[in-house]
Amino acid sequence: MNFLFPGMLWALPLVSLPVIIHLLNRQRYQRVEFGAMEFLRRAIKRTRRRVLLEDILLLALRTLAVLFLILGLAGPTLGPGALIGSRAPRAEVVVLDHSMSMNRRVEGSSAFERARESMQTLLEDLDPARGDRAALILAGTRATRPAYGNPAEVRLTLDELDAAAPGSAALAEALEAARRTAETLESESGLAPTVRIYSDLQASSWELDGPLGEALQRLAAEGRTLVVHDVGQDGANTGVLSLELSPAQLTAGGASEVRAVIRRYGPGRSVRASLLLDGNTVHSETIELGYSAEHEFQYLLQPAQTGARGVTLRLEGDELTDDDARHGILRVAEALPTLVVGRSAANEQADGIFESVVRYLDLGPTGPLVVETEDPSRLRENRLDGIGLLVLADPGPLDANAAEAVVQLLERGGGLWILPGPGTEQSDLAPLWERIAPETLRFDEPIELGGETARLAMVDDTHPALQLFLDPRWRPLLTEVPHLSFRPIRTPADDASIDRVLRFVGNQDSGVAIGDALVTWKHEAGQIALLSAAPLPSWNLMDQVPGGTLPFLLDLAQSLAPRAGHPDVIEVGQEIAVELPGAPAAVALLAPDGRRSVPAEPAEPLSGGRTRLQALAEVVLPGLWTIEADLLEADGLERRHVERVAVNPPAAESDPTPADSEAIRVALPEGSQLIRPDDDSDAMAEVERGDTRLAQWLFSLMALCLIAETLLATLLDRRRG
Amino acid sequence: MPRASDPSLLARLARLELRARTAVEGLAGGSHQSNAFGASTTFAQHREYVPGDDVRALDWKLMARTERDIVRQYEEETDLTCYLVLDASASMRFGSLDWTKHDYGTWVAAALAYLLSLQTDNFALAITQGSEIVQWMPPRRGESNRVALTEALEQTEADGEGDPGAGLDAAVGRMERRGLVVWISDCLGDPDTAVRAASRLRHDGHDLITLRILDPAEIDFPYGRHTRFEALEGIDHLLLEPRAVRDAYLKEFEEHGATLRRGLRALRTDFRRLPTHEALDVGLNSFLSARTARLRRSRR
Repeated sequence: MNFLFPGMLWALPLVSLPVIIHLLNRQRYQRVEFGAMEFLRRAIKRTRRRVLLEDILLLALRTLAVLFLILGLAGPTLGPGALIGSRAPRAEVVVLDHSMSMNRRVEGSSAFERARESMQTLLEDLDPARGDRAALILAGTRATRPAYGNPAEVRLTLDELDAAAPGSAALAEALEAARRTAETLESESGLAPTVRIYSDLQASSWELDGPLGEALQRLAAEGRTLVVHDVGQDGANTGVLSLELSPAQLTAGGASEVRAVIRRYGPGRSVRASLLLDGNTVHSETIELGYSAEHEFQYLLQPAQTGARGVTLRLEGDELTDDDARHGILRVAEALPTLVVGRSAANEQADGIFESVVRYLDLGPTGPLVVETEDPSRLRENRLDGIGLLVLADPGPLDANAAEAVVQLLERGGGLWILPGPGTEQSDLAPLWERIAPETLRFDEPIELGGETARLAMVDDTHPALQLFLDPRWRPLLTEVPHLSFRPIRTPADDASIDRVLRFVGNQDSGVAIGDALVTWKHEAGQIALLSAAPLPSWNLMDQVPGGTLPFLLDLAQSLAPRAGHPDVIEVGQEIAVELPGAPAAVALLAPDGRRSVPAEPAEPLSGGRTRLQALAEVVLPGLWTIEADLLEADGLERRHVERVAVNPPAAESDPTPADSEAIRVALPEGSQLIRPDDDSDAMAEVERGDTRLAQWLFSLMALCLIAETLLATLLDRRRG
Repeated sequence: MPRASDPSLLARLARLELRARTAVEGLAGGSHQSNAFGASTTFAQHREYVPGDDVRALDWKLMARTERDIVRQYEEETDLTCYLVLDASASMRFGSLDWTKHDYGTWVAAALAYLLSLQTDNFALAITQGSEIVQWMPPRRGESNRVALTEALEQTEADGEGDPGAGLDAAVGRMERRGLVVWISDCLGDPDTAVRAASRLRHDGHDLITLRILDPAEIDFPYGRHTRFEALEGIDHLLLEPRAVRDAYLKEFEEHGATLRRGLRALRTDFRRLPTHEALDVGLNSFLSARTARLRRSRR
């Protein structure tokens, strides 16, 4: 026999209470001086045996009633077919929701702590010597099985867990792992394991119309007994749901707007928000949040130093601290080294595409670009050393060597901007086109517009090059700029590798789509843009709109600048992997808490001399992670290269809204059980199960004893007057 | 309003003499019937009517003149000797009311003495404790004897061990003149001893009235709580749950009483049970009936 509350067995000495009360009552008597003692003596002699028997029977009934009460409260359980005092071995597969929401504290305890306590109580009841088996499965961002077999080891593993990981819960994956584990346990031990899930039943994790529902059905199909322990509690939370930097990459001296969404769940409150750049506070404000309200945080950040800068928006702590900070990376680069390759205009009185572009982009030493020019015939690999962006402005025919040099640039992560202009045919670019362009992509013969006003329309207004036109003051530039000519770009609509940014809709009056005007795509590590429109040069000095289309062209140029080949921002549970511009001689990984480690995996070589390094297979700690790599240079020297990666918790885990428990109850396999936190306790709810639990029987026996005692006492009272 | 012989009223009276008078006078309006009749022709005296007197002895003419109840008394009617034997052993000390069996017994004895005094009978007193006679007052007549007897009763305390039947037997040996013996006792002894003493009394020509004084608690045994019963005689004690033995006790008690009653009535003696919560009438009336019967037999 096992007990859900073995501590109650300490009350077993109380079974002697009726005997003690009986003896105490014997000590409390009245004294009577009596004359007819002889009759009393004879009466006692006559009744001694019967009275003794009656007293013993009454005492036995009272003692048994107390005994049954204590045993019942201790929650005895028997395995299938078990006998009193020696239950059969049993197996438990426990699945712990190891997601961030489990760390939300209500009234001093978190759902994780409640779950751990309940699981420990369950595991304490298992005895490996008796053949009991157990397995622990953690439902974090992915399912893991840190302990299997010996219940004592499972308990030890559980003890080592301090809190849930600040990630999401792969419950479906965990249930599938539980199903497989139950199969293995059953085949090894012959025991039919009970699968238990301890979770706060957060709505975002318990989507039953998907893999989770299917996993439950698979368990049902195998006839598994499933017990869901709801350890969640109603409560509030405040979290930073998103953090965006626009742009996330800029040149020194530029500014980036920080936009964040702060969400309150539950009753309103004020919260202190601080914006940090590389750990230093640059701005703080107090935000009043209404009941379940959202607040949009905005701040213009102008970093002075270059490099990958860590941006953090942090709130003061609340019920759930894991989501009180969100991080981003702002890349601040030196001025972008740009090489413009093209042919000068035949007519020196009028600027061609080449001259126009050079003039647009070259704003001198303070500009975002450092512009050089080169003749197409001299476009070779060594000419592109140190170049971040190559602009082909009406270059005319390119040979294979030039094409090879451009490909090398792209493999290094450099950008390529192609402006065919009216003088360059697709065939002129054939050696390059064959290597870098999608097969379906082509640009047609130019359409002479004769100075007509063109009309351009935005297709992808999220593209960083189009941010200028989101401002209505600049939007006329899209529709009212006269063009020399136009080359319609033909792209198949279903080609997902090509990003269509702008399209040409014909003359002002026709409104008929002619073709795409700006498309971008990716080749190797580099970005490529094809812009086919060629506005009249004079209009780019227009007085009506200061600067003309200059900001647009600058934005487009910068959007093509070399980028990190890896995501700057990831979620908890994902891998930290970075692309390095060379082969590392030594690498160190710095965690947000300051701990330093050396990645186990070696860097993998990529094209263009770059390497890919997996620094961490699964990150569990949110914050700003730093990778310091000493890269081997061609001259044999080492150069320190620093990358940073922001790790954030999943925003959905901030929402404490619980799932509909009735829907879960319905979705559970037949014979399964959902134990709510408002039940007396998990274990007491267990006691209420009639299959293997003896508590009900014991309480019934106690009631029978009390009834028998009452009847006997009444009978004796009546008989004795 | 309590009757004059109500024990609760008597208990409130201070002196035994007053108690006796009150008890007897309470009988004046009683319903007892005397069977005595006066056959003598020698007039002795007039006196006031007292309970127990033959109503036919009332002098109607004199009553009409004086508006008082006057009886005519003849010489033969005064020739009665009565022995009052009071058991004062320790068991008589028991009492669940405000008075003990001993108190009640002394009231009965004093009341009888008062009655006997009024009727100018000879009366004696024997106070026994177990088999021992601790007080003996030989038969005499008159008020002075009654006063002395009443004082003796007042000074007596219940004590001593032993069978009260043996005490009665010892008193028989002191009785020189035949007469009426009134044995006042709880009779908590061997019934055979009591019957043997009664048999001896009858053999010597005495009449016997046994007035058995019992406390209601002895009759009903009403104890509920766990109780330690300590013997009034000796140092014995019993700790028990009274309700568990009540039935058996009552059975034993009734069997004892029935045995005693059968034995005494077989000897043609009177036996009355006097619970101490009841009026003294029963005892006094029994006495008066026996006295009348005695007188009747002596005249024949």
